[in-house]
Amino acid sequence: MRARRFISLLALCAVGICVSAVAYVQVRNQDIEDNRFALFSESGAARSTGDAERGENVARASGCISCHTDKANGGALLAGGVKLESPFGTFVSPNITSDKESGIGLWTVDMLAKALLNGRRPDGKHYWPAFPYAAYAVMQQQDIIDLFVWLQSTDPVQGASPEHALLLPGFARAGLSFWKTLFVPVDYQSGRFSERGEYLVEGPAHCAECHARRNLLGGIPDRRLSGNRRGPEGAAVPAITADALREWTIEDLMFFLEIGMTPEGDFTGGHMAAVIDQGTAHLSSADRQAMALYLKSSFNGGTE
Amino acid sequence: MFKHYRLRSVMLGLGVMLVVSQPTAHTGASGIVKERMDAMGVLGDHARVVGDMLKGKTAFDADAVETAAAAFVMHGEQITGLFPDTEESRSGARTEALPAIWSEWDDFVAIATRFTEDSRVFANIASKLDSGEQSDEENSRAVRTAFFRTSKGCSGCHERFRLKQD
Repeated sequence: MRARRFISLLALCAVGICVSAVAYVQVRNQDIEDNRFALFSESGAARSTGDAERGENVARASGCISCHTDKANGGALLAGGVKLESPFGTFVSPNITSDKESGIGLWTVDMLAKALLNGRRPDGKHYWPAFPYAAYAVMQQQDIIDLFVWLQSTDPVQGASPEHALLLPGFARAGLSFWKTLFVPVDYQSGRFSERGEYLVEGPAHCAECHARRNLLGGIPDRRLSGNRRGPEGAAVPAITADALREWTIEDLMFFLEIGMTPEGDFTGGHMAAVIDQGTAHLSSADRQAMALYLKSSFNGGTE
Repeated sequence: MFKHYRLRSVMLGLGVMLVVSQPTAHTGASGIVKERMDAMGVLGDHARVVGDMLKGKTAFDADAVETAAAAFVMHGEQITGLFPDTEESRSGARTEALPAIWSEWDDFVAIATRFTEDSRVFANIASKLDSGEQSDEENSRAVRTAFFRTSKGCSGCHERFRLKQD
């Protein structure tokens, strides 16, 4: 009798500890998110209105179009439907056109900012990290305002994407609070990405999402661009640290980001081809140069 | 002088073929798979030559551009024939061809056709480079535009129809 009571007490304690741990992580993550959003809002210097043309440039740099446009199947611009295979199942990119029902036509700029910086949906739930907010967390205020204006200027397209086909149970989504505290860098709104190339590569262009190693939780423990043996398309993704790129010149990299040609004359395929065709090919030559300079710099990669 | 350049291009072309026919990256491939890998290799070498000029790594060479453009046209015309729907073609050793080529054959042909058309435009521009009507800078810009357009065929096809690789 006494033993049974003791066990019940122990079980109760265990449950209590779990509940408080979960509560603690949630509060802690909420703090980080609130703080990041506050820093972002206060960062100021933004013009009151956005500029659609600049916003399109942000979208190109950020890979929005290559993931949210199902080009191979003739899908409309930003109407979603692109599949991303992962060890956790298949993610399908949503419709982000200006359509009020299927897209994001009813969003405010703050909703967009919270989605990009904190991985939060307007209903308060977490986005799965297939949406690369661990990189977007660095994005600057003006860029997000411009991006918002451009997104709202695109043609509305009706029709929601199919649901994700995940191997994870539904409640795993709540566990993303914990995931975020582990894998979304906290100091991303501190302005440490002042150099343009570094900002583009580590932030909007989110190179690490494919070119860095992921752990069992699908997190990127260090965002070093040292390659990923198990890439999202079932093949290895090459390392692009300065060391790995030592045979490439700045011109080689700029050329690659413009037309996808390697120094040997081969042309990249797969999703990288889309990233270039829908993205980096449209950037200014100065931006491609900034990315190339950063990739070749000692800041990219350090020691192997 | 003109002839001398021609000769150099031919020598370069021969050298390139010699190099790519070495069993390096294509070891283990045979038959149609080897045939198309070699063809792609030759094409890549021409692309590299043009690319190096545009990057300023090598001097502008109108004849080499002309040779490259001609190779693109020839390849464009032959490419669909290099992918017959046979067992060997689909699953021969070392093949990097994805099954989508045959399940989405019309799209594959459309990319090849577009590539051939763009290559002809490129070849046409390349044939006028020696006329002396334009400055080197204008020539370089024209080549850049035409080459970039043509190259969309390479990346567009690899995006959907080539095995993902390191």
